[in-house]
Amino acid sequence: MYIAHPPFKPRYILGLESSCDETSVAILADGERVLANLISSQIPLHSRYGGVVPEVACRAHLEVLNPLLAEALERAQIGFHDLEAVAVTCGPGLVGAVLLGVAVAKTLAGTLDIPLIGVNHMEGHLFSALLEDRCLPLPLLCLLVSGGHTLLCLVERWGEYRVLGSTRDDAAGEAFDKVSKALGLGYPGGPKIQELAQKGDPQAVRFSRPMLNEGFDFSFSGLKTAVLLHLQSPQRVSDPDLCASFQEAVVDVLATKALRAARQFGVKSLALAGGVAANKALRQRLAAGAQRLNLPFVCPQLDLCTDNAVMIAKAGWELASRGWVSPLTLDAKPNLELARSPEAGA
Amino acid sequence: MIPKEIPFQGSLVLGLDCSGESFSVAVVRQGQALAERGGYSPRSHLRRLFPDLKGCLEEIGASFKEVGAVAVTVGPGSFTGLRLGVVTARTIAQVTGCALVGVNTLEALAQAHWGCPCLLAGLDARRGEIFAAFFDTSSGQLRRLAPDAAYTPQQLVERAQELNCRLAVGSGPWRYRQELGAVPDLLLAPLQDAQVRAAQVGVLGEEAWRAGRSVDYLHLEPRYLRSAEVQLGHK
Repeated sequence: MYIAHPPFKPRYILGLESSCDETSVAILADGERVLANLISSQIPLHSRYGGVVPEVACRAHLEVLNPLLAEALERAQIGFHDLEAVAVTCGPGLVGAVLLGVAVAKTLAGTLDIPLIGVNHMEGHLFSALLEDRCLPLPLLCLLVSGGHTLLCLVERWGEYRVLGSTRDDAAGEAFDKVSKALGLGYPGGPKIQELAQKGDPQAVRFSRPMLNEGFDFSFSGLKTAVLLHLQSPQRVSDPDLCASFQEAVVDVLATKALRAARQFGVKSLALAGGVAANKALRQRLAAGAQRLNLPFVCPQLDLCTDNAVMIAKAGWELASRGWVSPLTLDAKPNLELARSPEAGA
Repeated sequence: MIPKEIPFQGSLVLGLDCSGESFSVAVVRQGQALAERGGYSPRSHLRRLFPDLKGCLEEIGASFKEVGAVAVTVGPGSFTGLRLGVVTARTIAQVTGCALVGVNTLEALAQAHWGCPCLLAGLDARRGEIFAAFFDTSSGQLRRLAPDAAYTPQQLVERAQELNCRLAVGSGPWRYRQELGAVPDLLLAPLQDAQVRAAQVGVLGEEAWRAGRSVDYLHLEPRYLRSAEVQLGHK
C-alpha cells in the first residue's frame, strides 16, 4: 500500500472519501487550512431501507464525485494543476464505494503526475484530532467510535498504531442504529437517540454494562438485545427514559474502558473521534475524565466527526510529510485494519 | 524513423472497458490500435486499469497531453465495473479537457464480427439473465435489430429463433451455450472472442467523436438495465 518516497509537505492536497454513505471532497492548504469541505450525504436515500444499501450507495457516489471535485476547486479558488498531492480512503468500507474514490484519486494523481496517498478511513478519523491541536503529546490514546467500528487505539508515533481493543460484535454506532430502528426512530440512530435521551432519565433502567471490567474489547450486541427485550416487557419505560438509559450504558462502557487504558498505558493525551464522537454525553464524560487525569483532551468539531474528506486530506498530508506514498496500483481494501508495521514505510 | 517532434497532437483516442470479468485499455488512432493491454482479472480491475492505461501511452511514447478523446463502455455490464470505467473516463476528461464518448458494450462486442445478417451479442448478467441485443452486420455497418434488454436463457433462445440468428458472441451466450444449442444453425464465437476489446471501444469512440457525438463529463452515465432495488431483491 505504500512505497518509499522522500518526505514532502504538499501546499495543496485534495482529499476524497467515499467509503460508506457520504461522498466528500476537501482541499487543505499547508496541512491545516480547510479551503473546501464538501459533503454529499445519502442519508435520505438510505433511510427508507433503515440502513445503507450498497448498490444504492455506489450509484449515488458515482453521480456526485466529479461535480464535487469541480466545486471543491472552485471554492478553493485553485485549478487542478495547483494540486500537489491527492489522498483517498482506500478502506475499510463498502468495496464498490471505496473503489470509486480510489479510481478518481488514481486518475488525478496519474494525469497530473502528483503523489497518491491511500488512507485508512479510521486513520483519517484519528488524524482529525490533529486539526484541533497540532502538538498533542504522545503517546496518545484514541477512542474511535463509528457505525462500523469501536476501537481503542494507542498512538506512540503518528503513523504507527496499536489497537488495544475492539468490538467483538456490534459497533457502538451500530447499536444506536439498531435500537433506533426498533423504536421506529429511523436512520441514522445516533442523533435521534441523543435527542430523545435529553428528555429522559438515564437511571430509569439499569442496563448491564457488558465486559465493563474485562480487558479492552467491547461487546454491544447483548446490550442491544436487552433494550429490545425491555420493549416487550410490561415494565416498559417511556421512549426518552429508554434512550437515556441505553445511551448512559454505552457511554459508561466506552468512557470507563478508555480512561482505564489511559491510566494503564500512561498516555500523555486523550482523543475521541468517529461518528459517535458527535454524541454530547460521550464527549462530556471523556472530557471530565481527562481533566481528572490531567490529560489534554481533543475531539473534532461536530461537523468533522462524521465522515468527511478533510480528515483524509489531513491524514494524507501527515503521511506525505513522513514519506508514506502509495503506488498507482493502490487497491480498495474493504477490510483494511488499523495497523501499520514501522518497517513498511520509507 | 519518425522524428520525436511530430507529436500526436491530440489525435489519440483512449478506449476503456471494465464491463465484464476481463478488462482492457487501448490507445487508438485513425481506426488503428497502437497499444492494448488487459486480460482476465475479475478481482483486480481497479488495481490494473490506470497503470495499464498509462503503460499503453508510455509504450508509444505519448502522454495524456496528446489524448483527444476517451471512450468507455457505459453498459450493459457489471455495475461495479461500469462505474469504475465511467468514473475513470470522466475524471480523465475533467482534468485534461479531452472529449468523452460513451460506447455501448454490446455494440463494441458486435463490431468485431462483420458480415452476419443476424448476430446476437450478450453478456452474462448473473441472476440467471443475459443482457443482450441483436445486430445486422452484413452491410459493413452496425444495424440494430433489437434494443438492449435482459433475457432469461429461454427468452433468448426464442428471440434468436424468431430472428433467425446465425452467430452468438460474448460471455452470455458462452455461459448458456447448451441452451442456445437449440437454435438451428447458430454458431457460437469461441471463448477468446467472448470479451469486449478496448481497441474496438476506441475505434467506435473515435468515430463518434469525429461525428461530434461526445458528451460533457457531467453527463456520461452508465446504462444499468436493472434498478438498484431489483439488484437487491427489494422489489
